[in-house]
Amino acid sequence: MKTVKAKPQTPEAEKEYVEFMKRYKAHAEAANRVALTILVWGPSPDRTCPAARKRKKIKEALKEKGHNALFSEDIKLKSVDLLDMSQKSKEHAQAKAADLIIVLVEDSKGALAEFHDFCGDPQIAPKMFVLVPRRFRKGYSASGALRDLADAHGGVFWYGDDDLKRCKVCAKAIQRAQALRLIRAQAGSFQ
Amino acid sequence: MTKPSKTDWQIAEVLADANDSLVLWMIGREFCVTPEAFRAQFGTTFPLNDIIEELEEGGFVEEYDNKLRLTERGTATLASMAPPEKKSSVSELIAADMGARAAETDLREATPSIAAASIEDEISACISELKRPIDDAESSESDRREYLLIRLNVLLLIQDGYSSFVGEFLGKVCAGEYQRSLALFAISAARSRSLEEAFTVALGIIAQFVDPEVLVEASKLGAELGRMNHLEIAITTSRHVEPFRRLLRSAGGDWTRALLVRIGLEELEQTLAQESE
Repeated sequence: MKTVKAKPQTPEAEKEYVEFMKRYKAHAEAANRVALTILVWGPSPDRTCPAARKRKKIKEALKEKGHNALFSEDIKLKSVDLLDMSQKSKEHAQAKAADLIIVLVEDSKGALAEFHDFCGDPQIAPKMFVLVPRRFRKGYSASGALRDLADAHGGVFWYGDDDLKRCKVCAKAIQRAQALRLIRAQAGSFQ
Repeated sequence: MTKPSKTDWQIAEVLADANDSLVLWMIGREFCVTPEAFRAQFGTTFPLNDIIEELEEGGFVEEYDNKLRLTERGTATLASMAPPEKKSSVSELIAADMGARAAETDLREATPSIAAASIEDEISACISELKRPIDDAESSESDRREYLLIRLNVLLLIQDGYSSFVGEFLGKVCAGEYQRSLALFAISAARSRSLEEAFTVALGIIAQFVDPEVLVEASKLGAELGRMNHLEIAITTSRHVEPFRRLLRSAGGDWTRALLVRIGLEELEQTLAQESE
């Protein structure tokens, strides 16, 4: 598991490790001043399947990291102009406004459809990070839209069945959000 | 801002991952330039091969003359890590390290929290995972099943009211690499029932092995329940107290000594240090 940490075994290694952590922490602190608006798409939070639980966990973990993490279901705008909009149009608007979109397609036909709807939009595609089970590798999405997204933006993470349980998926989502923070922090731009 | 390129993402993802950055750092400093050196300095449980493979694929690291070295991209990535703003004292460095480790503890990925699901749900999920047909092609399959079996037993013990035996069970049957993550998982599982039960599990685990991260969790529970004295007793009577003493006495034990002080067990730290002299 990649989440296992290195443990210094010698005094020299301990010293190097502490020095590294000092630099690493300073770097992370600079980035942590950036809060991103992150949409987390996936199975309905009312369901009890592992992917739905994972979706909630990802949102909570991102919020704990200081991001404005949201489910589309959470966004209740009461503007009259929005009443006539289709769900697709609303989500398109949300996607354009967000900094990052985490998509958990497992057990969620809706999230897969949303991904297909918007992955061709050049303003939205770079923001997408799709988490896909390895067993989907032989499907149409894998050889089409997911492949394009991976090749163009590296926005796809394939995971094994045990990775969902062992939280590698959540770690990857947080890592992607942190990476975007670092990019924003280094660019000095807060969009 | 302009949209980040795939390379921007790759660099940022390496920097966002403490393990990737650590390996890059150690190679860049020429502290460890071979996998063997890395294992000798940082233990064998660290998933070094995966990380090196990932760094090589991303063009951050390359092998030259049987040694690892940074590529131009790797060097640039490392250089972009912010320099420290001021010189820190040893105690500040330890405090910073503790803070970083504690932050990781709070969101530990290898230790799934089961707050959102009941123990019964977790048991069902474990059983259905175990019933899944075995995929012989997957080399990690037997590890996965072993992990699931131990996890299932931990849950069953807690469900049946045998929380105090969880530590002993883990101490006897658990493979070393799972010990910490399952110990933390067991505490989290028991916590979904009650604080007392979680503390009972934590004390049982400490009776078998004194892991610093388990200690952090146990101290939070002990403080909340006003039972820090029980934690102190569990440490001093642990089967693992001798190796723990040796750790405290060793040059690399600064972090653990500082941890004991931080969780309010200064006297115990002094007592153990004295007894070991």
